[in-house]
Formats: sequence, C-alpha cells, structure tokens
Amino acid sequence: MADDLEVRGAIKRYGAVTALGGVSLRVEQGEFLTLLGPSGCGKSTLLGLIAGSLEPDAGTIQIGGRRVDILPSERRNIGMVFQSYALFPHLSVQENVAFGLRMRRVTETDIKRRVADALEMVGLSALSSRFPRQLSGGQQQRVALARALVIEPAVLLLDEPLSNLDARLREQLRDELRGLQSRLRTTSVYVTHDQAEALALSDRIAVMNGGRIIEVGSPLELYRTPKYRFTAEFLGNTNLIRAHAENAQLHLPWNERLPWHQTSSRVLLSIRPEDIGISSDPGGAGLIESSVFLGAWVEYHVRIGAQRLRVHVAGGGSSLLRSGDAVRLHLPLQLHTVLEDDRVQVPTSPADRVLA
Amino acid sequence: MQVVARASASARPRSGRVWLSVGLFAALGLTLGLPLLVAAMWSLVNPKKGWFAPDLVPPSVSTAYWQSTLGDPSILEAFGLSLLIGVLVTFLSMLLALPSAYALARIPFRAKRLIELFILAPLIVPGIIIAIGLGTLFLRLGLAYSVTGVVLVQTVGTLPLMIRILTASLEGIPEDVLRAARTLGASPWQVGWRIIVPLARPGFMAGGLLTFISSFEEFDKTFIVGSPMVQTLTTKLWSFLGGQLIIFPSAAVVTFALLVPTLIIFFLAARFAKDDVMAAGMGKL
Amino acid sequence: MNLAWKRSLSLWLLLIPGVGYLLVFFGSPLALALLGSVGLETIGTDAPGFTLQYYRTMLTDRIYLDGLWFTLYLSTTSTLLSLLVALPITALIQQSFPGQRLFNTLYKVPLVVPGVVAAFLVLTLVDRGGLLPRAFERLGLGFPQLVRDRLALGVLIGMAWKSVPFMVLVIGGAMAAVPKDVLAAARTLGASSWQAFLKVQVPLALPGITAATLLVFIGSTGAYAIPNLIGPVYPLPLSVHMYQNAFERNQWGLVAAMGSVLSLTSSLVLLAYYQLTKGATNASGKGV
Repeated sequence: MADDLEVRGAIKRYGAVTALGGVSLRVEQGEFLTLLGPSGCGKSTLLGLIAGSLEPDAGTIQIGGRRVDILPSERRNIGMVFQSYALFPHLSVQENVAFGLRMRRVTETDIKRRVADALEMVGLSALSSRFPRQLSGGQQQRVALARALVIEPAVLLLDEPLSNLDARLREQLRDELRGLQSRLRTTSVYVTHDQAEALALSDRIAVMNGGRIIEVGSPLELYRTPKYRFTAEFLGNTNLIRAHAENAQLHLPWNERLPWHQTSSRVLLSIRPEDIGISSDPGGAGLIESSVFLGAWVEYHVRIGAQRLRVHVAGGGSSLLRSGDAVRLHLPLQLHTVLEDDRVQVPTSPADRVLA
Repeated sequence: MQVVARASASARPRSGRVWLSVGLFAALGLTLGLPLLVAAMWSLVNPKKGWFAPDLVPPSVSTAYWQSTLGDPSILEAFGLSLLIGVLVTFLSMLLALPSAYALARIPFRAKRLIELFILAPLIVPGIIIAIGLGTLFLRLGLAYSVTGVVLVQTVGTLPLMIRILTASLEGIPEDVLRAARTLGASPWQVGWRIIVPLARPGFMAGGLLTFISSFEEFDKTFIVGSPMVQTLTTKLWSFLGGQLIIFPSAAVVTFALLVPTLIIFFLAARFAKDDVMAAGMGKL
Repeated sequence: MNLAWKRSLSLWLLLIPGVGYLLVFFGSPLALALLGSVGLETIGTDAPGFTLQYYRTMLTDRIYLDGLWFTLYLSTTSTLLSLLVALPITALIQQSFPGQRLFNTLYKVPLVVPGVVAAFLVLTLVDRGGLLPRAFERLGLGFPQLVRDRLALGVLIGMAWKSVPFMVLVIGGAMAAVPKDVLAAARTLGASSWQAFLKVQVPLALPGITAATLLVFIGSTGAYAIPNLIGPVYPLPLSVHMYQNAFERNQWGLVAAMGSVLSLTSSLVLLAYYQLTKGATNASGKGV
C-alpha cells in the first residue's frame, strides 16, 4: 500500500539542456504533494523519473526505502494518471481497469471484485462495458484514476490530470480527487501549473522553476509567507515593492515611512492585493488608474508615487471607486519580505504582468 | 508529455542498445550489403580471366565491363529519359491528386467509401492488363511509343498512392486553421494555395518520393506502351537481365547504373520525406 | 443556385482531376480487358463474339490451373514470410539504438530496387556457381538448390526481400502512432516492455499490420520479373503466363481472362477483410 517516496540529487540532461538540476524531495507516506511550476520547469521530467519512463543521469529514487531508479517502470508499483487519459482504446472500461491486475496475475474472481469496487469508487459502475471513445473526458479520466488506484500502488503519480477538462468539470473532479485522497491516503505526487489546483489539493506544494525546486511548504505557508519572489509571484497575485531601511524606518517608494525591525538596507516586499486597504480620500497620495469588476471582488490599479499597485476589494459593500479618484492606501500591519531569487531565472511573463 | 515520449525507450541498459544496433546492422549487411558487394565484384571482373568457382573473389579486376557498358550512349540517353519521365509523372500525379485528396480528406459525402475503393483498384489489377489496354487505345490516338504515353500510363499506377498519402496528410490539418484563414479574408483558392499546400508539404515529399521511385523502376507499363521507341533505364536493364542468357558482369554494371542514381535521389529525398506520412497513406484500407 | 447544390458541384469539381483521370485511363483498359475476356473486344484481329472459352481454358487447362495455384502459393507464402521477418524488425526498431537514423534509411533500399535486379542479386548469391554455394563448398558443405527449384524458395526469398521494407515502414508507422502515454500507462500498470508491445501496441497497430499484409499480398499476385528469372520451369505463375500469351502467342482474350481472375482473387481477399473487420468493430461496440 502507500509508501514514502524519496528523491535524492536527481539530475536529467538533454544534450546541453539541463531539465532537472539536482532535485531532492521527500514525500511522506499518505501525503499529497504537488509539483507546481510553469511549463518547462522540470516538473514533468521529475515525474517521469519517478515513473520510470525516464532515466536519471544522476541521483537515486526510493519508494518505501527500496531503491527503484534501477528498476523498470513495471516493477516500481506506481499508479499513473495522464493528462491525455492514456486509456487503452481497444479495451472496455472494465478491461482497462483490470489490465494492471492481469499483469499481476490476480485471480479472475478477485479481478472482478476489485474492478467492480474501483469503478464504484469513481461512480462509473454503469459504464463498465463501454469503450473509452464512448465516454466523455471527465468519465475517461475517472476510468484512468480507477485503473491507477485498483492496483493499490505504493505511489500515485498524476500528470496534469485535469488540464484537458473544461473549467466546471475540472473543479468537480478536483473535489472528487480530494475526497478520494482523504479516504485512501495514497502517497501522491501531482503535477500541475494551475496554482488553484495546487492550493486546493495539496498537503504540501513544491514550487519548481528552471529545473530546481524553489521551496516546499504547505499551501498556507507558501501563500502567506513565501521565502522567494518566484513563489510569491507564481502562487496567486502579489505586489512587489522595493524599499530601503534606515534607522529602524522603512522608506517606501512614495515618501511613506514605516517603523521597521530589520537592519538590512534593501528589502523587497511582497504584499497580496487583497491585504491592502483602500479608501476614498481627496487628499490621498494614491490615484486610481483603472478598475476591473471581477464579480466576487474588484481589482483597482492604483498609482502611488512611481509605484503601481493592485488592490482587491471583496464584495459589493463599498461603492465602486472611479478612475481618477484619489485614494488612501492602508498597508497591512505585518509586511512580508521575500528574497530576490538569483539562483533561478524568473520567467518574464508572470512577473511583468504584476509590475508593469 | 514529449519528455515521456522521447525517453520511453531509454530506460534500458546501454549495452543492450549497442547489441541491438550490432544485430540489426549485421542483418542489414548480410541481406543488403553482401548482395551488392557480390554484384560490385561481378561488375569488376576481368573479361580475360573471368570469375569461376571455387574463387570467392575475382582473380583479377578490371573496369572493362564498366567502360564497354557505359560507353554505350543509349545508356546515358535512357538515364536521361528515366529522369524526365520520373519528374513528369511525379508532377502530374501531384497536380491530379491534390484536389481529389482534399475532397476525400475534408469533405464528408456519401459515395466516399466507394471512391476510396475505386482508387485502390489500379493496385489490384495487374499492370500488364492496364498497359495492353491503354497501349491499344494509345495506338489509335497516336500516343503509343511516346514519352507522353508512358507518362500517362505510369500515372495510372502512381496516382492511387499519391492520393492516399496526400489524403492522409491533409486529414491532419486542423479545421480551425482553415477557418482562421477564411475569417482573415482569404478566399477558398487563397486558403488552398497559402495554407493547405504548404501544410501538405510532408505529404508531397513522401508521395513525390514514392512516385518518382516507382516511376523510375517501373517496367511492365513502360515496356508495353513505350518500347522500343522509348527506352528507360529499367527497360534497358531488361535487355541485359531478362533474357535466357545473362552475362553477369554486364548485368552487374547496368544494375549499378540504375541503382546508383536511384539511391542518390532516395537518400536525398528521404531526409525530407517523413516515414509516418508515407506509412499513414498505406496504413489503412 | 442553392447552397447544397453549389457544395456538391464543388465536390465533384475537386474529384474530377484525380478520380476522373483514373476513370478514363484505368477504367477504359479495364473495360477493354473485361470485354476481351469474353471475346467481345480484341486487339489487332476481329473479335470472335461473346464466348466463355477463355475462362473455360483458364479454369480447365492444367497448365493455367496449376499457374493459379502457384500464384496463390507464391503470394501467400512470400507475404507470410515478409510478415514474419518484418514484425520483429519493427518491434526492435521502436527502441532507440546507436545508428538508428542510418538504419532507418538503409533498410528501405530494397524498396527502390526493381524486381529484375532483386532476381539478379539472388542469382549471384545462391545459384549454382553463386557466392554462397562456393563458400559452402569450401567448407565441405552442400548448398540447397534455391533457384529454379520446385518450391521456388529463391523466388520467395527475392519477393520477401523486396516487400519487407514496405511492411516495416507501414507497420512501424502504425506502431509509432500509438500514443506514448498509453504505452507508459501499460508499463506503470505492471506490463513489461514485451507485454506492453503485445497487449497494447500490436492490437492498436492491427489495422496498419493487416493493411500492409494485404497490400503486399495484392502486389505480389502480379509479380513477374522474379518468378520469371529464378522460378521453376513448371508451374509458372499466372503473371508469367500472361506475358507469354501476350507477347509470344498474341492471345489477348486469355490474358484478359487471367487478369480478371487475378483481380477477382485480390478483390475477394479484400472483401473478406472488410467483412471481417466490420464484424470486429461491431463487436467492440463502435456504433453507439
């Protein structure tokens, strides 16, 4: 059943390109860990190494204390769910789920029972004799999930399993996945570039970029107190503000000073848009440049001094501020600083979107 | 996903892959290299000494057969004609095949299956039947024994392959791309010329290569419709190889005279012609 | 002009160059052959009028009957032989190995070698006085007769040699078209690479495999050069009879009858295949 997983110093190169530059990672028994990062960050490569479809150039992989990187895929006892579903088109739903059990020479009666249980679990008992092409995307992915789980894998690997589904279905299946995981407690590694999925599903998230793991932590830790600029920007929206500290005071770029505890002279602040308060004030230093109505909240683009900030205001309680309105901004009491991440190359797109 | 694809084969011990390579190339050497080597030795036999059992290599080599065979100007002429006919057949097949392939690939209609089967038919009927029948008609039309006649009769054999390969490659073009072109103001003709033709390039390459080669090596139809006025390299080869008495060294020289240009064209074109496109054209009936 | 009408007009306009060409330049000789095979049309001389004598001759005369069986024997055996060789090669070259690109180009060379050259190469290698018998003799071993032998082994070797690359190309394409994820899924579920090949890749590539097999079979029924040059003196395949009757005896009616019977045989094989696969797709429940 569920085992722990440990990757040590995994390196994978393709010619001159380093896809994975020495990654170490530990996933506890029964834990749900997400590898989160932009495309090309190495998350799928890492998953491929664990699955055994790729061979590492260096490093070891252990499942349940047993070294598996020297074993072929079929002897690692893993279950894998693919973005493309990867169902066997020539086999019925039933036979797709039974495939792994047949490979393990499970008796026919056991196969019948376990396949029925697995299909029941994903709510597809009624469709067991259909063929994959007769199913919707969501149903196909449920079959794939049943197929991967029925063999009771030591580790379940999920490679962007929801990316091919439409938004509503994606959320529904995400919740089902969560329910299954909390019941089965299968050790799982989930690859995605969607931060909402990562936040919703994971016990812990490993944020990856440029073939490295930037940092690992619980969704709450990583969202509230990221250590690195990359994490702050990739996980949700944020405002990055360069400031400098002097004589226990923090000098913000718009002539505002705040009491400050740290001594370092240059700091990079990360402030979530929803943490900034905003109020209409004709004498305020801020100026609303534009606003976007997003249903649950309103996003204001505020210029203050040389800085542009995004501010989210929840609900319809306050009346909408208009472009050109002068406002006063209220920064949160606890300011959070992040490290400029010089080890990794931060891709330009997400960063530039925030600080234009 | 590409990552998985690229490396699925690599999770295999390195030495195993080397042995696989050794085995495959050894098999190739035995079935392809050896026969060609023996033919090469035959072409270099010294006419004064011959090459008799039990010698495994000719006792003495000479280029006498090469000189006498290639000295024959009709060989060079035949080569030029083969080239010309090959090019003409290839372009004619492409031109004729493209519209039909487009219709088969992208327009749903009821008689499609029937037409697909009809296109398969020229592959089923023996070439000699088509050639004699067409030859008779051409005789009445004054097309027999002409390059035009040979091109027309060869095209009957190559057109089905070209249509199938182009159909397969046109099927792969996403409908959205064509729709996008239309919304951007392109007329159907412009879509055809600027989008479909460039995107079908792999199909043209693969189909063109196969067509050219099958024209180059075609015998029955060329012989029946064209011979003796139109002599391609292959019909010429027949006069050296087809008789009851084969003079091995001359036959070997002509073999190479035919094979070398074919192989050069083949190797050049093989770089551009993708296997999967060729296979897709044949891969379903 | 309404839209539907315009659509079907443009459809037929598109079909005319390719399909129209075949209708004229393939359809007319085919019609000529069918008419000729029943004596309604002939070449050079006057037509004798409707008669079934050519078919009767073909199906009763010992020489031609044996020829028909011999054609079927050559086609079936050489096709099976090619399949037997092509399948493992295709399986092996799915893996990556050093020199793969070179191999992928070189193995296709027989594709461009004319049949008559292939026959010549077989001759130089295995005919009495060929290289292999000479080598065997040196080792004090006998060498089986492979040229003009009763079983036509040399012919089978030559025909298979020419068709293996075609099979590898088509089957390899069908196998490569199986999504890598599906194979990876099979592997993670516990299938060895061999099991994944047999249980997933081969079944999914089956349409390509049968297509290649059938095309090779059909092509081989018309093979002329190889059996003519290195095959046994008797029986002769129908293709060789056709040449002899056309060029030595000027018996167009008989040639046309043999051509029709050969075409009919191939068509029946194809028809059987369609019938079979139709049943198979129904069984797998496609029609929902």
